[in-house]
Amino acid sequence: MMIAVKAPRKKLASILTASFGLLLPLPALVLLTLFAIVPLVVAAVLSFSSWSGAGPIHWVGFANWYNLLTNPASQSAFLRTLTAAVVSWVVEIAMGAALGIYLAGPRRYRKYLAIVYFLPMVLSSTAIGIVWANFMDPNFGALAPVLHDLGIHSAPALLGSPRTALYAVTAVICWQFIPFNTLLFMGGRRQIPETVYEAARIDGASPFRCLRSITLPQLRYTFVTASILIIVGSLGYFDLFLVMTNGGPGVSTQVLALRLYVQGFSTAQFGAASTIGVGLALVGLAVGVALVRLTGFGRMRSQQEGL
Amino acid sequence: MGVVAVRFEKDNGSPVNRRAVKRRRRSRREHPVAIISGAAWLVVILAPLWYLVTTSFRNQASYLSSNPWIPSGLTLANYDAIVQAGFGRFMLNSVLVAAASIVVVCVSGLAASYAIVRRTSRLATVVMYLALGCLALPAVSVVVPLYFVTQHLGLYNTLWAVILPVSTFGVPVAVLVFCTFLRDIPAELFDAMAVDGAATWLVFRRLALPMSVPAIAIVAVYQCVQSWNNLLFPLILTQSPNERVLPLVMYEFVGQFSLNVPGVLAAVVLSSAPLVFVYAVARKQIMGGIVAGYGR
Repeated sequence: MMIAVKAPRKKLASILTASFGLLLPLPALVLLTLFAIVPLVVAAVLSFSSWSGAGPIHWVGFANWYNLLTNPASQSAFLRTLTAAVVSWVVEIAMGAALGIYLAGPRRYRKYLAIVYFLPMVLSSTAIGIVWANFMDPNFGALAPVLHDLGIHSAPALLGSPRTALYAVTAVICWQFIPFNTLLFMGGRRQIPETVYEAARIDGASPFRCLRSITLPQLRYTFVTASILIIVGSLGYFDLFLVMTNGGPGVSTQVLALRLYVQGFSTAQFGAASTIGVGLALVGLAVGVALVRLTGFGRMRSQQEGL
Repeated sequence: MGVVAVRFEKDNGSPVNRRAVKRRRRSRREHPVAIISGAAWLVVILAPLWYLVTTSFRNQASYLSSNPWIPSGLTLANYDAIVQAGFGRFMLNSVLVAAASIVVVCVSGLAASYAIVRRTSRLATVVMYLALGCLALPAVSVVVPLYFVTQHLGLYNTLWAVILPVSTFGVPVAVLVFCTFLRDIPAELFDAMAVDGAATWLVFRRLALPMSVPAIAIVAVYQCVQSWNNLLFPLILTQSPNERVLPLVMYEFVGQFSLNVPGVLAAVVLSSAPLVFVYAVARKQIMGGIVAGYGR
C-alpha cells in the first residue's frame, strides 16, 4: 500500500522537476493576463459601447471616443490633468534636482537630513491628502495663521475656491513626490565619478562651473527618466484629488482619472469611463515605450560620458 | 588625472598649488545658503507631520480654539475612539493583504525573472514584454473591467480582490529588479552546475535563490509599501466593513467623523505608524525598491 501511494507521487514530482523551466513564467503570466491584459481588452471593447452594468450592451461605435475628444467637460478635465502634470513636472524636477545634488554632497549632516527628507515616500496618498486638507483648512488649519503673519490677511480657502483648488492639490502632489525625485537625482549624482570633479578643480573650475558643465550634463538621463515617470504618474493621478476635494468645488479639480471614477461608479456609464481608461493607457504606454527606448532596459550600456 | 593631483599637492612652493589648496578649503567650508535652504526644506517636510501628530492628541476644544502649532489639551481619547471603532480588524486586514501580496509578487516575479534571464522557455520572453508593457499602465485604466472580472472570478468583496490586482501591478517592478540582479550572476556558475548535471530546479534553488536574497528584500519592502497604501482597488473591489483595509478606512472616516478632525488624524497616525517603522528598519531597501520600481 505504501509503495502504491508513493510511486505516483514520485512520478508527479519528477514531471514537475523536468518541466520546471516551462512552469516558471506561468504565475506571473496568469496574474498579468487576468488582472491587466484581459481588463484592458475588456475596457477597449466597452469603449465602443453604452452600458450601465446591467441589461444589454448597446454598441455605439466611436461615439464615446468622439465625446471624449469634443465634449467640453472632458476637454476641461483633460486641461486640468495637463495643468497638474506640467506644474508638478516643473516643480518636482527643479526641486528634486536641487535637493538630490545637495544631499549627494560629502557633508555628514546631509545624511541625517535625508532621513527626514525621504519620509513622505512611505506615507499613503490617502494619509497625505487628509493631513494636508486639514492643514490648509482656513478656520482650524495651521497654514492660515502663518499666511496671516506673512501679511495675507483674508485667510484663503485654498481648497474651497475654484481658482486655487487645482494648484493647492498640485502643491501637495509635489510635496509627496519631490522626495522620490530627490532620491533619483541623488543616486544619479553619486554615480558621477569624483575624478571628473578633481580634474575640473585642478583646471580651475569654480563649483558653479562644475555644476553647469559636469553635474547637469551627466544627469541628463536622470532628467529624462524622472520627467517620463512624472508624466506617466500624473496621468493616473487619482487618490489625492479624491481625498482632498473629490473633484470640487464644482468640478474645478476633476481630472481625467477622477472623471473616470465618477462616470464609472457614480453614474454607471461604463462605456464612457472605459474610454477614458483606454485613452490614459494609450498615452501611458506610448510614454512607457519611450522610457524603455531611452533607458535601454535589455541592454547594458554605460550612461557615463568622457570616461 | 588623479596622478596629476598628487604631483601638485607635493609641489608645495608653487603659487598655482597654493591657489588650488585655498579653493579646495573654501569649497570644504559649508556655504550659509546651503544650510539655510536645507533647513527650510526640513521645515516644509516636518510642518504637516508635526501638525498631524500633535493634532491627533488634542481634545476637541483645543482643536477648535487653540494655536494649531503649539500642542495643548492633550488626550488619548481620540486613539481610544479609533480602537473602539474596530481599528484592530482593519489593521489585520491590511497586514494580511501586505503579507499575501509580498509572497505572490516575490514568488511569481522571481520565477519569471529566472526564466527570462536563463531563457528556460519561450513564454518567458512573452512575460517580459507583458511586464514591460504593464510598467506604464495606469491602474485606473483597468479598474472598470476589474470590477466585473473580480465578480466573475468570485473574488469581489474579498481580500483577494485587493491582493491579486495590487500584486499584478507589482510584478513588472519585481521583474525589473530581479532581472537586473540575476543578470549579474556570472553565466559560468550556471553552466558549471548544468555540466555537473543539476536540473533547472536545483540550479534555481541552490544558486539563483540564495544569490537573490538582497533583491527579494527590496521587492518585498517595495510591495509592502504599495499594498499597504493602495486606495483604488479596495475602494472599488470591496464593499463590506469586514473586508476594509486601512486606506479605505481612513477615507471613510473623513466622511463619518467630519467634525472630529483629531479623531481622523489619530486614524492616520495609527495607519501610517507601521510603515514608518518599516522605514526606520529597512530604509535602504525602501530606497532601492522605490528607485528600481520608478516609484509607482
